[in-house]
Amino acid sequence: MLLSISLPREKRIFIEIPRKACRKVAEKLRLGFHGRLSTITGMDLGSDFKIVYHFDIKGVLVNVATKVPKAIARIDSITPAVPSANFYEREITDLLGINFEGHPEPKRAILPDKWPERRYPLRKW
Amino acid sequence: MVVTGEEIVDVEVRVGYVHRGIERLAEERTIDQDIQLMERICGICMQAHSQCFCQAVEEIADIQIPERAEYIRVIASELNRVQSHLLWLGIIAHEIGFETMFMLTWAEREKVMDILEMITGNRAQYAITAIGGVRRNISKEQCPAITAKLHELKRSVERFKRIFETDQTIRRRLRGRGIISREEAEQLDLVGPTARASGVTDDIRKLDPYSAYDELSFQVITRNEGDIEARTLVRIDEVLESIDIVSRAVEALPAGEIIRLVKAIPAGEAASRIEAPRGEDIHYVKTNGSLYPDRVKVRSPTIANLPAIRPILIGQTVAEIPIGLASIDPCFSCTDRITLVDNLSKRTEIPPIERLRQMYLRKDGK
Repeated sequence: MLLSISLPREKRIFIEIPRKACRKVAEKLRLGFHGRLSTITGMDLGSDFKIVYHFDIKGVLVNVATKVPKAIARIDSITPAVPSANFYEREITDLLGINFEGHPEPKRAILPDKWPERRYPLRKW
Repeated sequence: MVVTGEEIVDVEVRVGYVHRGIERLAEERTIDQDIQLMERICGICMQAHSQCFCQAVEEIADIQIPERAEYIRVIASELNRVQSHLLWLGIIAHEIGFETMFMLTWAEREKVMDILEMITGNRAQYAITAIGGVRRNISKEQCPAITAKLHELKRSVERFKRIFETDQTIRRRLRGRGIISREEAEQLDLVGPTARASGVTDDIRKLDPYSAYDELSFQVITRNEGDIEARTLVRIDEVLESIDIVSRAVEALPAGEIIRLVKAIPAGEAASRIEAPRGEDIHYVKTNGSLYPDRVKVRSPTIANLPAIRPILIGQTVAEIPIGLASIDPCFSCTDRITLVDNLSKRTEIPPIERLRQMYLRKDGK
């Protein structure tokens, strides 16, 4: 389940897990470890997307990364367990076109209402 | 806001009116140019953004910046915090109709602006942070001038504190309103003074120390009431604490260089965070070894705190909207656009914010 782990300095943990494990891991960090979600980063690596969930657990920044193949472009929403993910997931949908399945309030986050469909500003291609 | 008559039953937060595409722009500029871009995200908390970005890049490059530079960054950051909180205090005074206090706080804030202009050359966008350190030094001659001005400022802020703690009209308008419970603050992942006024103890300067904060002693200010008065008193105490931090930093300023020049930034990624005036500011940067970054992600504190508007405003009346919203210290040019949707008739209206403010003052604290 743990594809990679890196501890570049104190108070920083970077791990990579499979896409389907994200929801369970986020729930565990939230409920089991009282993690606070700082934000969620989405990016286009060219071949795939990468999503990083940044959790704060007692001052340690735990960065949970996962790859999302472009052809799939979707992942389970963690908002039901982590309410503050609501805006961050919608922002990624706006900017990269990744869908968060099970998001309770899917709607535009920051792009204008009249922004054209299927135009995602942060995609590299 | 969904309202029934004057009572607020629901709040929908819509953002994006000032979306500038900064993260996209950051990919089209060099890492060096991005420092200037980051600094322009905000006109009040700019030091946080340029410093957080530089910290992330310095982590990727695995460089330690000189000690003197860390202290100068702390001085710039804490002075930034003071001027931000004093500006906000003036806004709160304005919201409750205390125009004289609005003018007094902003007049005292000028002392901080003078210090910042003296050491950085600017009043906003200090342009002092660079990869590897800072760009300008603080001279021996400037130190007593800084300390003297801070001493005067401290006396004024202590006076303001007494007024906010004891004036009956102010207390009637702020006390017991817009309450966020500790459970709500934790559930919504709120940050900064907004969270600390509800009993949360997180302050990035202590939780995940950066710069020289682990060498300078200071208190994390918290309160438990969670109302607008608590959020006000937390910020006033933070101003007093920050003035002391700057005085200590100026006194303990280590000798040495102010910058360690970096040739190139290798490929890598890092996440860094700062306690900005409004709370945790977090930057994630990914580089590929070239001059241009692959990705720069910024989550500034206000966006994390906007969900607090719901517990603050639901159950209150429309007259409380300006002060309720202001109490989380939102960092957008004070929103002039609030849409009221009447729950029964479904009519919508965009009232001028001045009308809501006058309604609040006429209610006289009921």
